[in-house]
Amino acid sequence: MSKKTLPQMIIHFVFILFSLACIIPLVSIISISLSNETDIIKNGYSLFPRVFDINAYAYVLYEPIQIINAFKVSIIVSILGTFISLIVMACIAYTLSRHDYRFKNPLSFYVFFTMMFNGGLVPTYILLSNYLHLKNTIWVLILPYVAVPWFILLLRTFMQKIPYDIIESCMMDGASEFRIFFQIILPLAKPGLATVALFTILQYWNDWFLSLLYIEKESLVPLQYMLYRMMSNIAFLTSSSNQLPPGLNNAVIPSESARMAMAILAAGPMLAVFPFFQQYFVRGLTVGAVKG
Amino acid sequence: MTKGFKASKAGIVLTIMIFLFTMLLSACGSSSKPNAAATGTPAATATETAAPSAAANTPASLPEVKLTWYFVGPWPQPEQDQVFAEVNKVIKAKINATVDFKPLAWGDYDQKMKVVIASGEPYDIAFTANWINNYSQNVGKGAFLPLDDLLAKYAPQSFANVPKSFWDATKVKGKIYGFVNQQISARTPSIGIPKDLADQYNFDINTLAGKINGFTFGNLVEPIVKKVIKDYPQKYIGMSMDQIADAFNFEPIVGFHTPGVVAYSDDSLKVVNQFETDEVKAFVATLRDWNAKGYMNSKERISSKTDDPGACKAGKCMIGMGGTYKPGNEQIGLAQNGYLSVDAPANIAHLTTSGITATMMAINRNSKNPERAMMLLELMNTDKDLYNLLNFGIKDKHYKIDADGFMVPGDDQKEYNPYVPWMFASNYLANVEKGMPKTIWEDTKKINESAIPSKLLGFTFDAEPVKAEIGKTNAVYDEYHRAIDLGVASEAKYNEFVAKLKAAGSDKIIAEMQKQIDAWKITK
Repeated sequence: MSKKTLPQMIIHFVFILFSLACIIPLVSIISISLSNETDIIKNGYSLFPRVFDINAYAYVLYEPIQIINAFKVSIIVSILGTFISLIVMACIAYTLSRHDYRFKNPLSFYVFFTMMFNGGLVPTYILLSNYLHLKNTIWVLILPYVAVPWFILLLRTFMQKIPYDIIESCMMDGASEFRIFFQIILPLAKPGLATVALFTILQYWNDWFLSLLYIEKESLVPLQYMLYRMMSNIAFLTSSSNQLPPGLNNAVIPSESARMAMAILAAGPMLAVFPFFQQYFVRGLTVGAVKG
Repeated sequence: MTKGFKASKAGIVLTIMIFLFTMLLSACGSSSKPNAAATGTPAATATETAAPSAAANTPASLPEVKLTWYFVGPWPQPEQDQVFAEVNKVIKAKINATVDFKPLAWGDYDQKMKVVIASGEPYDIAFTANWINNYSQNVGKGAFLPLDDLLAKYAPQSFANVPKSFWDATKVKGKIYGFVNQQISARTPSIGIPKDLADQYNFDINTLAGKINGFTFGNLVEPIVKKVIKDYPQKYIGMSMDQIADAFNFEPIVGFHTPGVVAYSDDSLKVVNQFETDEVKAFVATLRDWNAKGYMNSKERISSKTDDPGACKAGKCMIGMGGTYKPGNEQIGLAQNGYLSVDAPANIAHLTTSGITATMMAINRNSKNPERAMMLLELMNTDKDLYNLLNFGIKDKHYKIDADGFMVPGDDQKEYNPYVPWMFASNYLANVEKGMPKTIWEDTKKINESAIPSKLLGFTFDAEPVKAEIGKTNAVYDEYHRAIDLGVASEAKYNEFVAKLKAAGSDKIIAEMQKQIDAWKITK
């Protein structure tokens, strides 16, 4: 272990580089968000703020109601969505993992098929807005991601690893199917569930596309969409300023540091959530790889 | 083995079922389309029968309707709901309608309108232009209602106020689909210099007015640049190909980034590649020369793709060109950049299709109340108070009128300040801001009228057939333009750029443009 051979050092070096590539952008975003705006314009970015300034946060949080509301929406959607989605996906996955279920293959195919083909953007929009009338409700942010085929297949593989003997012996003891599922299978599948839960919560937290399409009410705008809207506005104004009709007020562009402050606020909670899942994470990630 | 067979049989059955189901669905989809069209026509005929009484319409005789209006801008504004409620009170009193305002942010509008239009949502009015929510493509798709009859019946005043040449510019196959919001449509870039620099060097920007093009540019601007750069070597010269583009003596068909222009003086309407014209070459040579003389500060600027928009605020700007010259430019520049500059038009203004189709409202083909939508547009274009309310917010709250009759910011201006006056109706109705000339709208009108109309007025290029090539050539432009703009690219490099444009399909684009222009010329 203590032998430091050349190949090992190379491997370390590569991983150090990789870690740096991951860490430096994050550090620089934090640094920019804490820097003085004119200093950035004059001297460019630096890894540590030359002139320390929390004005950007003051600017972003100046009207806290909107941001707090966006946080609220994001948190509700992430937690409620993850909860519902885990229950639904675990149910399907468990059913698919039972080899004594007669329609296992057709049902697997049905799940799998949606991974390959989907309705496309416009039909989905028509379905959700014109038929299900989900537009401008909180459910439109939750329901479309409730059953993600890829996660279902991941969970199924994980549950297949649980020996059938356990289920059989439970049955002999007179446990009902529901009891087996909730009291035996779910606890045993915890690492898999935790992994999928992490993915799901990330998906809900990071999603802005659904809100772009379906949310028009300001009170239902989640945090990521707020951030996306800000960024895309800036991108739009800078890229096509030549074609715009004259008289557009560029003064609405928030400063560089305010944008970064916003990014930190949006990413922050996920950084805090991640460690809680980490203990399951490595175990869970390998489930797809080795089939039991 | 048998089990596997069974399963696959089930799979086949399932697949077939899914396909059948999809077919069923798509059948439903296609059958619903004629339906929509069918419901569209009765509505239109109903309009016509209702028309005679419409002239004498009082709000009481109109049934109450709800209109949906999509538009774009720096939304959301904190107090928008309050303002919209006020606007609705007026609209309700005048035409007995309430408007469901759907303000969308710049970055969202294109994408969102695509699904809204594709899904056949029965919204009523939407902002459309040549630069966002693309007008000609939407008309091509049949998304909008032809407005000719509606305009004549329900918006006679606005119809008369807008010059006929403007309406002609919006025509697609002889029909008007876009309601023009008047603004400065004659395009020439403005050339400006911070006022303190102009004073310091005793320089009058108006000496350059109307004289700048690709050939004259170097000789005219160099004297002042030379003086300033000696004292302030860090200051930017904001003059890229992009920014000067509108001052060149030719009209870009799609945009300056895309190959294909027609010279204003060319009666035969021959499309050429602007990057191969002598004019652009002369301009690029000037930039190269300036860089060699050390004017461009290129070592620092080449490190980023665009100049920081905040750079001017930080006092780094020297002389710049861009945007569109219009009366009152200085005031707007002051609001944007935080310093006063003096501006002049760079060249003679030209009236082009894109200048007119830059701000339009369209009525949805599936609109349930197209006649009411048109009445709303007429109301916005004739009721000055209503227009200013939507534009600038509530008087004495978001804006104030000072003793001289100029508009000044109110105490709560930052709660509602979309600042897109050309979005809602004719810009001519807007309150005159302090610092702008009192006659700004008359001046604007005059510039529009005196501008030289392009020979291509009314022609709109359908980019669909060469979309891929346009994308590719734009990528080439993106790759090279920064180096060219800063004068860093050598002549060999510039030739390489032109060659790469060719490889990316510039000839194909130009041929397609020529084909469409020739076809258009015959119908004219």
